[in-house]
Amino acid sequence: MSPPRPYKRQSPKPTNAELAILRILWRDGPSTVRHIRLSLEEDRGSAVGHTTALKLVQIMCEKGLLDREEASKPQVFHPRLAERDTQRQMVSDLLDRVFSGSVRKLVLELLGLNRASAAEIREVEELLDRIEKGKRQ
Amino acid sequence: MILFELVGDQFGPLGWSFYHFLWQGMLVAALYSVACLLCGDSARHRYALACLFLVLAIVLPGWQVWMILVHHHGVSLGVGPPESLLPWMTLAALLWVCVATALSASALIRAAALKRQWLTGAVEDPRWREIEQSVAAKMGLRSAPQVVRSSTADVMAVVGWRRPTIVIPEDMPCDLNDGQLRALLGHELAHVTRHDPIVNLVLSVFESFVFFHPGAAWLAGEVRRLREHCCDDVAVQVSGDAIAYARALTALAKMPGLTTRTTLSANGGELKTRVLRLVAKRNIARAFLSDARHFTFWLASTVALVVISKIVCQLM
Repeated sequence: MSPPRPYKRQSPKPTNAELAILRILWRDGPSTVRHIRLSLEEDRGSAVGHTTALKLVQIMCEKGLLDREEASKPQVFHPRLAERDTQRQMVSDLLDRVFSGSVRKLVLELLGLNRASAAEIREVEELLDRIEKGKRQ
Repeated sequence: MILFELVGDQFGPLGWSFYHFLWQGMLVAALYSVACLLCGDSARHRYALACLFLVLAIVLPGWQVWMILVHHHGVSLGVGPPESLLPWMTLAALLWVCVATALSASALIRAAALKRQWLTGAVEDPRWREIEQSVAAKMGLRSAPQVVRSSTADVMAVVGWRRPTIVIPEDMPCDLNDGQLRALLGHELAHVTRHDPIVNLVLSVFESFVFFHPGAAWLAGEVRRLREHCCDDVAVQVSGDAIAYARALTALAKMPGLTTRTTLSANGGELKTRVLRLVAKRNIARAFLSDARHFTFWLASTVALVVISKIVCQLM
């Protein structure tokens, strides 16, 4: 019996360079490539080319890490995910990858370690609906 | 070969016990299943049984080593590994002890780090605290553990062993009513009053030692499963509304991030099993059948293992 496919919130993992840009955007809010480049230079303490910064930002847009505001000139970029969401996801991804849940076993989680799939949740909700309907009638 | 003689002499009993634990663990699982058949379907009774047999599974290998050291023979059902295999068995056992020790040590360290991370910047929530106090009073508790909201936690949980803390994720679904919050807190408080944090610690270490053993690992899984059922029962007792509690569980399961690590067991998933147990009439014939199936499976596995060892012994 093959397990049903899990439904995943698709969000790509940022590389270290991309994470540096995300940090700038989380700190300063939506910014232009120029601002990102200057902040990167400030963080790294060395010069960063405009094309390098632009290319990074473009790749991040393609990966779905950033959104661009088409209307504004020069273009303004803002992060898709809040800082907390990204951090949380990175931590749980890492833990999952390395220890496949052996750490989470040490925490008493309300829902247990077998996560529910979307299909299972739907099934349970339908069941509860049916029971409540039966009670009302 | 010198190495073999050395490990054979020094750690021989460990190799023998490692071998015997294979069939003994399965026999313990079979005995637990037959005890379940007799005990009915109260979650509390079954949990007690599962813990009892788990202790048996922990004690057996130690007792086996002692028997061999003192009486120079263990309980063997008339078979043992062929002499030529024993050094390999012993090496495997030594390697296993080292790997399992390292695994559980690292899991413990990481769990402590996870706890620190969840509790950093976590704040007490007056609304939850107030509800918790009233639930604790209803459950007859004199003191209630701390309840905090954490921005890094992704699931409602109890963390910490000596002084457990109830952690609530920042982005809990906001459409839960007070009755549902009472039920959820009832579940978590039940964990604390039943000393589950410390039992879970022992259980997790045990699991990292028996990862290779289907019978023992299954028994440990039973303890985990039944523990949640016991706490679910308390939650429903506290709130008086099983359907509302089942709805709350489902709402939490839908929280972002929680569905990503999906693994669905063959019986249709943990959530569904738990909800069915709470809201549907229990099918006694079916429960009986499932216990009987477990018993047959583990007994057959034990017999198969012993027969195969006998054949291998004769062939060698």
